[in-house]
Amino acid sequence: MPPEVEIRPRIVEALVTGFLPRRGLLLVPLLAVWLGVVALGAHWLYAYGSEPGPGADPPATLPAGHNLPLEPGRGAVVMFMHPQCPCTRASLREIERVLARVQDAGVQVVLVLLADADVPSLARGGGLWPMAERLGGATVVSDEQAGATRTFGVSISGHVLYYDGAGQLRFSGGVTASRGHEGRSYGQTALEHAVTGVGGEMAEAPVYGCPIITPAGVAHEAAEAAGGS
Amino acid sequence: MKDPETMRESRLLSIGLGPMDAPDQGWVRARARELFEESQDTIYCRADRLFGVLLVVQYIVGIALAVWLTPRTWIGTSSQPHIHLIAAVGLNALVVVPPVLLAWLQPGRPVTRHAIAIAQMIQSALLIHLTGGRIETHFHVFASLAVLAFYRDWRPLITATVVVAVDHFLRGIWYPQSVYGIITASPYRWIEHACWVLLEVAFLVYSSKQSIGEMRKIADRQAQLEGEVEQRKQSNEQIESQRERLRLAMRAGRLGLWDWDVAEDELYFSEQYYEMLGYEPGEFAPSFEAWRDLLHPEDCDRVVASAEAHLRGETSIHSAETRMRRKDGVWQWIHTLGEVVHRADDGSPGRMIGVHVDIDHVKRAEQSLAEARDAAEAASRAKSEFLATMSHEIRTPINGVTGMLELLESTGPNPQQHRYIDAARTSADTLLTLINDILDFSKIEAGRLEIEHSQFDLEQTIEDTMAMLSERANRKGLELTYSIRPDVHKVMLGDQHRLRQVLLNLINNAIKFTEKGEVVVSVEAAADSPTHQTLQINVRDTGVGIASDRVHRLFKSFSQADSSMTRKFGGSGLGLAISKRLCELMGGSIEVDSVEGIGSIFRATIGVEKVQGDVEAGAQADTSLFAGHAVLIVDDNATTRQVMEQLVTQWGLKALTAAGADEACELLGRESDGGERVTLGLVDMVMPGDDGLALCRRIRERPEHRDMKLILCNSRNVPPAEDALHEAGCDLLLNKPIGPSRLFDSIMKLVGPAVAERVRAQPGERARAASREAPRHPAGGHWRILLAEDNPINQMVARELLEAEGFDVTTAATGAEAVDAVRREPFDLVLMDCQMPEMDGFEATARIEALHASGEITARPRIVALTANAMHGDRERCLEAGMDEYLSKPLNRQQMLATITRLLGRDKDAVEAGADGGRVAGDAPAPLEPGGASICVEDLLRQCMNNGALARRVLSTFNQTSPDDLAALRDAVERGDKMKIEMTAHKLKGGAAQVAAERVSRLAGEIEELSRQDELGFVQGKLDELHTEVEQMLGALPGVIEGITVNGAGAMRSDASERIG
Repeated sequence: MPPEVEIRPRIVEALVTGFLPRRGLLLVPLLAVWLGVVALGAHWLYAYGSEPGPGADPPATLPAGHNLPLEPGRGAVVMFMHPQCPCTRASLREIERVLARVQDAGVQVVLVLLADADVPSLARGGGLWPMAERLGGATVVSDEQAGATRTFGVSISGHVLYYDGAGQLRFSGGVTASRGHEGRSYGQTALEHAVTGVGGEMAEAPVYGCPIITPAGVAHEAAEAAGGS
Repeated sequence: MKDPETMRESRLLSIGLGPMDAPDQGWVRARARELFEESQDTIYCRADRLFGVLLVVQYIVGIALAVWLTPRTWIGTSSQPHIHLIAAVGLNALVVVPPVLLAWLQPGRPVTRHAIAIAQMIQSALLIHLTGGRIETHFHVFASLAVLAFYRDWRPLITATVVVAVDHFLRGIWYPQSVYGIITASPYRWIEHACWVLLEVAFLVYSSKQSIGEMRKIADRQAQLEGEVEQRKQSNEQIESQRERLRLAMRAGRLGLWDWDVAEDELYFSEQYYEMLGYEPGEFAPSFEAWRDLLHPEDCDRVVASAEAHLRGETSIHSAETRMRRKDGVWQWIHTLGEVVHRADDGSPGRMIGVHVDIDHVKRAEQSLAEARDAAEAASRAKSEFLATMSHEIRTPINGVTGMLELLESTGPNPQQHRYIDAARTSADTLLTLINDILDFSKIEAGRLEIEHSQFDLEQTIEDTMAMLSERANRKGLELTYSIRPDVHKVMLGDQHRLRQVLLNLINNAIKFTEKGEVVVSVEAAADSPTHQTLQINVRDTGVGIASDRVHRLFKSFSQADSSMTRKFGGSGLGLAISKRLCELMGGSIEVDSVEGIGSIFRATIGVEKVQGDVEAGAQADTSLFAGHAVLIVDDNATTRQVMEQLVTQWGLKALTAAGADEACELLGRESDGGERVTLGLVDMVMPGDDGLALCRRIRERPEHRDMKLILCNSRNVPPAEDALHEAGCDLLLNKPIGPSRLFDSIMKLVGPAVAERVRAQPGERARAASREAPRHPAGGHWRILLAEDNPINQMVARELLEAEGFDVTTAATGAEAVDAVRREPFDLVLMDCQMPEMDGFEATARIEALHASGEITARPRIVALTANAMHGDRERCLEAGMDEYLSKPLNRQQMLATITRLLGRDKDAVEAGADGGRVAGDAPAPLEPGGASICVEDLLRQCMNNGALARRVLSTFNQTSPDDLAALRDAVERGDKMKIEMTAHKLKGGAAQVAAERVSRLAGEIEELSRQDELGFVQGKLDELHTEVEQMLGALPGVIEGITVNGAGAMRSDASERIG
C-alpha cells in the first residue's frame, strides 16, 4: 500500500470509496440529473394532489326547484359525487366520519351521484354507489344528467353543501385536505361547526375531486337556476 | 489469462513462501483483505440483484395499484387515464430504471448502492404521498432501510436517510398533507421523522459493523487456513518432488528398494524393483518366499545365509551378489545390500531396508574384460613364445660360432690371435646378451624384470666391457680410458649383467656419437655405508653433444634426441630407456649433462651391497714394494696420462709423464742427472711426431736405459708386427684401454717375480696366508654343524668347506633326517636347505622349534637357510619361518663363514685367516667354456677353496647325477607335474651353480620360475635349451676334470692377463 494512502484519514477513504464511484465519475452528474428529473416529477405529482377544483357558487338558500328528497326544516348535508372519481372515496369516508361526529345534530344527508344512462360507467349502482349506499342515514340520489348538480351550482365531485333548517347555506366545500387524501381537514371542521351551529357565517373549503361537469356549464346552469329560482 | 496453476505458483512466489516456511503474515493479511473484499463484493452484488428485483416488483405493484384504485380520472361523462396511473408508469419508471440498470450492469459498485437507496426512498416518499401521509405507509421507509442493511454498508443507509430527511423537510413545507396527512404541520416535524429514521439507521449501522467485523474474522481465518493449506501443499509438493527425485535416481542407478518388516514378515518392493526383473509392480507377492524363489539355486543358500548372518548381528551389512530370475526367465545379476535399521531391546531384528543394484552390465563387462584379458595374455604368451623361439634360433648359430672359436683356440694361436678369438667370442656373447636385453625389455615393460643379487668384481666387469668396445673406439681413433676411484669397493653383491648392460650402452653411445677426442669412464662412490655403496659411473665424451631442449627425449623408449641422429648413427632408441629402468631397478638413476658441439657426460648411479670379508676398498697398498722405481708415461692424451699416473702412484711407483717423445727423452735425461731410476716405460703407440715405436728405439739407444722395460700401449686395431716390436725393443704390447688389473699384472710380469712376491706379501694377503687354527668350541672340541642338503654336489662342497674350517659336520638328505638328527644329538648350527624331498626346510625348522618348545631338546641350534632362489623376499620368508639367517646358493665361502661366525660368535679374523691359507695356487685360471656351455673353473675353484681334488669330485658327481635330473625334469614336464618340475629344476639349478655352470644353473632356475608362475607353455623351449647346454657341458666335462690340478690350478689356460668374461 502506498504511503500517501496510508496517511489518508480512514473517514475520507470511506467517503471517497463509499459514496463516490471508484471509476466512471461520469455517473455522478448523471445521478444528479436523474435526481433532478425525479424531483420534478415528484413535485408535479405533489402539486396535482394539492390542487383543488375551481371555486363554486352555490345558492345561498336552498333552491326552490330542487328535486332532492329533503325534509323541510331540517339541516341538510348534500354531497355531490362522481361515482367513478377515485378521490371522492376519501371524501365519502371523511363525510362519514364527520356525520358520525355530528349525528346528534339531526341533519339529513343526501348523496347525489351523477348518473347518465348513456354512459355505462355512470349507470346507477356502479362505482361509489355501493359505498354511498352503505353510509348510514344517507339518502343516495341519482343525478341524471347532473341536473341537481347544476342546480346547486357545484362542479367538483366531493363538494359538500350544508343548508341549515332555515334553508340557508352554511357550508360549501370539500372535506379532504388534498386530492383523495383522507384525514382531518379544514372543510371537516367548518362543516361540523356549521352543522352544530358553532359558527354564524357561511364557511367554504377547497374541493379535491373530479369535475362532475365543466365549470362553464355549472355557471350557466346556476344562472338559469337563480333566474329560475 | 494465466492458468490457475501459474497463478498459484506466482502467488506463492509473491508471498515469498519458501519450502517448509510458515505462512507469511503479510500475505495472510493481504489475502484476508482480498477475501473480505471478495465476500463484500458478493454481498453487494447479491443485494444489488435483490433490490433490482424489489424495485421492479414495486414498480409493477405500483402500476397494479394505480390500475386498481385510480385507473382513470373523470370529467363529467368523459374520462382519461388517471394521473396516478401515469405517474405509476412514467415517473416510477424514471425512479426505478436507473438503479435497476446499475444493479444489472454495474453490480457491487457504490454508485449502484446509493442509487438503489435513493430510488427506494423515493418509492417510499411516493407511497406516503399517495396514501395522503398515512402513517402506516411510513413503515415502508423503515422496511426499506432494513432491506438496505443487507448491504452491510452504512453508507447507503446514510444516503437513504438524507433522502428521507430532505423529502420530509421539503414536503413538510410545501405539501405537509402529502407527508403528514394534515394541512398544517410543525416545521420541525421532519426532524422527528428523521430522528426516528436515524435511530433505526444507527442500529442498522451498528449491526452492519458487527457483520463486517465477523466477515473480516472469517476472511482472516480463511486466509490463515489457505496459507496453511498452501504451506501444506508446498510441503507435499516438496515431498513429492523429493520422492520423484529419489525414484528417478534409483531408476538411473538401477536400484530397487525393498523394505522388510521382519517382525511382521511384511515386505515392500518398489516399482523399480519389479521393473528391474521385468515384472509389473505388484505382479508377484512381496514376501520373503517370493524373493527366495527368484534367487538362482546356486546362489540361494549363500545369499540367504548372508541375510541371516546380518539379522543375527554377525555382520555390519548384508551384501551379496546373486542371480535372480527375470520374468522372461533370464538370470540377471543383482547386488543385494541391506541393513537392519531397527532392533528390539532384545536385539531381534525389527526392520531391514536395502536395495537391489542391477550389476548385470558390470558382470557382462567383467566377463568381456576377462575374455579380453585372456586374449591379451594369449597374445602376450604368443609374443613371449615368439621371442623365446627367436632367441633360441639365434642362440643356436651363435653357439656354433663360439664352439668354432673354441676349436680355433685349441689349435695353438699366438697371443694376438688369442685376443682376436676372445674378441670374437665376446662379440658373440654380447649378441647373446643383446638378445636377452630384448627379452629384458619385454620384461621391463611387463614389470617382471628381476634384479639378481650375486657377487661380482666391478673392476673386472668394467675392464671386460672396455675391452669389448676398445676395437670400435680404436677404429674411430678415439682415446678410450677408464679409472676407478680407490674408495670403490672391489667385490660387491649386485647384478653384474645389468651393470654391464648399462655400461655397454652408455659407452657404446659415447663412441657412436664421438668423432674425435676421447671417451672417459670413471667410477666413484657417490654414497657409502658399512654395508652398501652407491656407485656413480661417469661416461664422458667429446662428441656432438645434445641440445638442452632435446635432453628430455633421451630416456624415452624408441626415441633419440634427434631423428636425424637415428638416420646418421642408427640404433633402436631402446638402450638408454632400458639403462634408465635398469638403474632405477638397481636403486639408482641416470642423468646427463651435455653441451652441443662440446660433448656429454652421463652419470649412472646404482646401489650395490658390499661383500663382507672382502678387502676393504681404499686399503692402502704396501708402497714399499716399488720403492726406488719410477715409470715413464708417454701419451699425447692428457686423460690417459692422468689415469695411468694415478694407478701407478697407488702402487708406490713414481710417475713421470710426457706428452711426446721429445719430452720423454728430456725427462729421461734429467733422470740420468740424479732423479729416480726409471725402470718401466708406458709408451703410447700413436703420438704426434715420433710414434711409440720410434720412441722405444730412441730409448734403447740410450745406454743407461737398455734394461728399462717398455710396454707399448696400442690403440690401433692392427697392431705392429712382431718384428717391428722386437726391433724397437718393446717388451710387451697392451691394447688400450688398459685397466688397473691388466696394467698391474703386466708391470708385475716385467718387473719380476721378486716384486710380485712382495706384492702378494702385503698385509691382507699375508693374513690369508697365515696358518689356521681349527675353530674351537668354548667348551672345548669342535663346533657341531648339521648340513641338511639333498643335492649331493652341494652337500659335498659344503661339507668340504666346513670341515676344512675345522667344523664337525653331520649330513642329512631330507628334512625328516635333519629333525631326527637334531633329536638324537646336539648341534650348534643347522644349514637347512629350504627345498628338500619328503619334508622341506621350512617344516623341518618348525619341527625343531617344536622340539625345543616341548623340552625334548635342551638347546635350539641356530638355523641358516640355504636356498638357490636368491629372489627378493626369500630372506624375509626364511626369517618368518623361524630361521636365523639366510644364505643363497651357490655358497660363497667367505659369506658362509662370515654368517656362521656371526651366529656362533666366532672370531672373524680367525675365519678370515683360515679362509684359504696355503691353498692359493698362483694366478687365477681363466674361465673354461667347453663347447659353449661354460663352466667357470675359476669360480668353481674359489667355491672349492682352490681345492682341486674337491673340484674334481664335485664335477664327477655332477657328471653322474645331472643326466638323471635332466631326464626326471623332462618326464615331469611331459606329465605337467608342476611340483616335480620345480623340485627337479631347483636341484639341477643348485648343482649347476655349485660347479659354476652359470648358464645351466640359470636355465634351470628359469624353468623353475616359469613353473612357479604357471607358465608351463614356455618350459618346453627352455628345457630344450637346457638339454643342449647340459649335453655340451657333459661332453667336455672329462677334459675339464683332467685339466684341474690337485692344487686347484686350471690346466686349460694360464694367461691371467687376458681374461674376458
